[in-house]
Amino acid sequence: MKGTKKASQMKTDADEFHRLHPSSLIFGIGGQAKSYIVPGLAVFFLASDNRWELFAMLLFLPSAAWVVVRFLSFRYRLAEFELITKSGIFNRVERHIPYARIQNINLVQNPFHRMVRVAKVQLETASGEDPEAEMNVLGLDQVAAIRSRVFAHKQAQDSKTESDQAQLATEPVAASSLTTPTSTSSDESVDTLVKLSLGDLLFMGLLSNAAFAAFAAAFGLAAQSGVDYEQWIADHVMSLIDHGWEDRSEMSPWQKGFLYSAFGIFGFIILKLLSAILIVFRYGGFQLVKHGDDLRFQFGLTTRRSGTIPRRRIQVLGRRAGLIQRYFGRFELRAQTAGANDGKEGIGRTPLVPLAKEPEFRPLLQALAPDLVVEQPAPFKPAPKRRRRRQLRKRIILPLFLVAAVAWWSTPWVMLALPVLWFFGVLQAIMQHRNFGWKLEDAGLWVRQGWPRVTTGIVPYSRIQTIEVQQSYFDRRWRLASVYVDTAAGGGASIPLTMDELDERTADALRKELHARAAAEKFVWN
Amino acid sequence: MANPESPEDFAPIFNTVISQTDPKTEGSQFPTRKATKLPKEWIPAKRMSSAIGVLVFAAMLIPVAVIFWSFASDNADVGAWKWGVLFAPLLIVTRAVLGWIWPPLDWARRRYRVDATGVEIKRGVLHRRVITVPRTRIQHTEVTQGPLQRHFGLATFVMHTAGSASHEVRLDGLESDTAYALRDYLLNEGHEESVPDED
Repeated sequence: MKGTKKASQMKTDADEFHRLHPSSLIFGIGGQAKSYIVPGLAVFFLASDNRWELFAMLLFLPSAAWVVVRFLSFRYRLAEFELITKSGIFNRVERHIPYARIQNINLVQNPFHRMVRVAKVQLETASGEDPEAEMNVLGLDQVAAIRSRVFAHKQAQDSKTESDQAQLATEPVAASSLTTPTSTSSDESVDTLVKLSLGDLLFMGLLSNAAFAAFAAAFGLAAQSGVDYEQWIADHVMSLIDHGWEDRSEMSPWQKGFLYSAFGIFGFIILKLLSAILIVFRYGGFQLVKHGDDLRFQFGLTTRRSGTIPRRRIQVLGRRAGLIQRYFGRFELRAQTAGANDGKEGIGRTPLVPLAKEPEFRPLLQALAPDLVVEQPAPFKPAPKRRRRRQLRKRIILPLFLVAAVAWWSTPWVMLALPVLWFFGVLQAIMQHRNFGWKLEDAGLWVRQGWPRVTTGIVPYSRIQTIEVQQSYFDRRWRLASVYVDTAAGGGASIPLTMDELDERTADALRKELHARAAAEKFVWN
Repeated sequence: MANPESPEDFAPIFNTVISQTDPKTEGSQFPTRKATKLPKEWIPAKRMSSAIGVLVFAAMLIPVAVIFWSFASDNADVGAWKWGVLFAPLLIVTRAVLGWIWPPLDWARRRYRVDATGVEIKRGVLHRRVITVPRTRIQHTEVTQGPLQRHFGLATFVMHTAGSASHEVRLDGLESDTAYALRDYLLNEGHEESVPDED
C-alpha cells in the first residue's frame, strides 16, 4: 500500500531522484534470510536440545520489514556537480558528495547480481574508513550514468589542475607525482599491468589455506551440534580406508599409525586442492589495468569485484613473500590508501597484485609510483648485532620457562618439545636478523623485515605523518630503540614500517632525518 | 664499512639541509632554540589530578571492601579471606604515594622543541618516547583547558595530523599563553604548507 503510493510519487520526479534497483528488495531480504533462517535451520536439524535458537528466526520478520522501509526511503540524484542521496525514516539525511571528491567507484557483483545485471556500488572519498555512500544494489545502466558523471567531471578537473601545475612549478616546494596530480589528461594511456594465468592462480591456491578455515568452521559446527564426530569418522571414513582389515583392534600400532597419518595427509591434500579451487574462483580473471593516473582492477569468477584506485592516493607500498614464494621468485604487492585500509572488503584486504614474478617488480613500481624507482639501489642497513643476541636470549629463555611450567602441571614428557622450540626460535631469530634492513632512498623509506614471510614496506617521505622513537626500560640496558613511522594508511599489519631495536643513536638520527625529509615535502590528500 | 653499527657510518645519507634561518617574531618564544621544559605548575596540577583520582578510586573501592568483609566473615569456610580487605587501603596508599612522587620525575623528563620544521615532544620516565610532527603535516590545531588546568593557568596544545596512530598529538601542560603563542606561530609560518590543496 505504502509502496504503491510512494511509487506514484516517484514517477513525478523520476527525472530527478532515482531509487535503488527494485531487485534490492530481493537481495536485501535474501541477505537477512541468510543471516537468520539458515543458521536457525542448521540448528534445528543438527542440534538436539537448544531449540530456543529457533526463536531467533522470528527476528527475520522485523529485519525484512526494515529492508523494505530502507529501500523506500532511499533516493539519489545526479546533480550537475554532485551526487545527492536522501535516506532515513526518522532522521532524514541528505548527503551531498561532489563528483570531484569521489575517488573510487567499487563494484561488487555476486552471480545473482550478474543474472539480473545489477551491482553493489561503493563510492569512496578520501574521508575516513568507510565508503561515503554504499548503494546496494544499482542496475548497471544506473552505474554507467554515475560513472560517466564522475569521470567526465574528473577529466575537466584534471585539465584544470594541469594549468595550476604550471603555476606551482615556480614554487620551491618539492612535489612528487605521488603527492600531486600531474598531467593526467595528457596521460590517457591504457596499460594492462598484471593478468593472472590459471597457473598463477593454482600456485596461489596451493599456497593458501582458504579451505582450512571452512573446514574448521564445519568442525566447530559438528562439535556444537553434539554429533559424536569421532565416532562418525571412525564409522564412515576410516572404514572406507581400512576395508581390508576386519577388525582395527588386530592392527599393530605401527599399522595404525601409518593408516592415521596416511589419512591425515590425504585430508591435507584434499583441503589444499579445495583451497586452490576457492582461490581460482575468488581471483579468477584478475587484471590490473592502468588508465592514465588511475589503477583499475577486477577479479572473481563468482563474485566479481572491480574498482578504481587513483595512483596518487597510495600512501604505502609493500611487497611480501613467504618461503615458497621466494623460492619460486614470486611475491605479492600491496598498496595501502588512506580511505581503504585493512579489514575492509575491496582493495585493502586483498593485495593489489596477488602474485607477480621477481622481474616484474621494477616495472610495477614504475607504473604505480615512478618516484620510488631507484636506479642504483642502496644496500639495506642492518640492525646492530646485539639485537640478534637479545632475540636469541629471549627465544632460549622463554621456551624454558614455558615448558617448565607446563611440565610441572602435566607430564615431564613435554620437555621433549624444548629442543624443537629452541630450534625454530633460534632459526627465526637468526633469519629475522639477516632479513631486517632499512634504507633511505631519494624519495622514500624502505623497511624490510620478517621471516619466514619477508615484507618490504616503501613509504614516500611526502606520506610520512609523524615519526616516534620509543625505548623501554629494558631497551635502554641494551642501548636499543624502536622507530615508528606513522602514515595516513594506518597501522595496517600487512605492511609494517616499524624498525624495532635499532642502535639508540641511529634511531635518533634516523628520526631527525626522516623528520627533515618529511617536513621538506608537502602532503596532499587527493 | 668497518662498524656498521655506529651512526657515523650513516652520515652520508643524513644530508638533508634544513633551513635554520627562522625569522623569530618579536616577543614570541617561538621557535624554541633548545628543548624546553614545561612550566613548574605542571607538577602540582598533576598531583592534584591524581589526588582526585585517588579519592574516586577510594570511593569505589571502600564499599566493595565492606561487602567483601561482611560476606567473608559470615561464611566460616572462607572466613580467613576477610583479611584480604587490607589490600584496599594498601592499594589506595600506594596510588596516593605514587601520585605524589611520580609527577616531579615525569616533569623532569618532559621536553618540547619547536622550530620552522615542526614540533618535537619528549617524555617518559621508564618507557621513553620522542615524537616529531613535521609542520607540513599538521592539519589543524586546538588548545584545550580543563578546570584544573585553568586553575593553574595551563593548557593542552593538540595537533591533528592525517596519521593513524598519531592522528592526535598532545602537548600537555603548557602555560596557556605559550599554547596560544605556539598556535599562532604554527598558523603564521606553516599556513601555506599545512593546508591541503582545496579546489
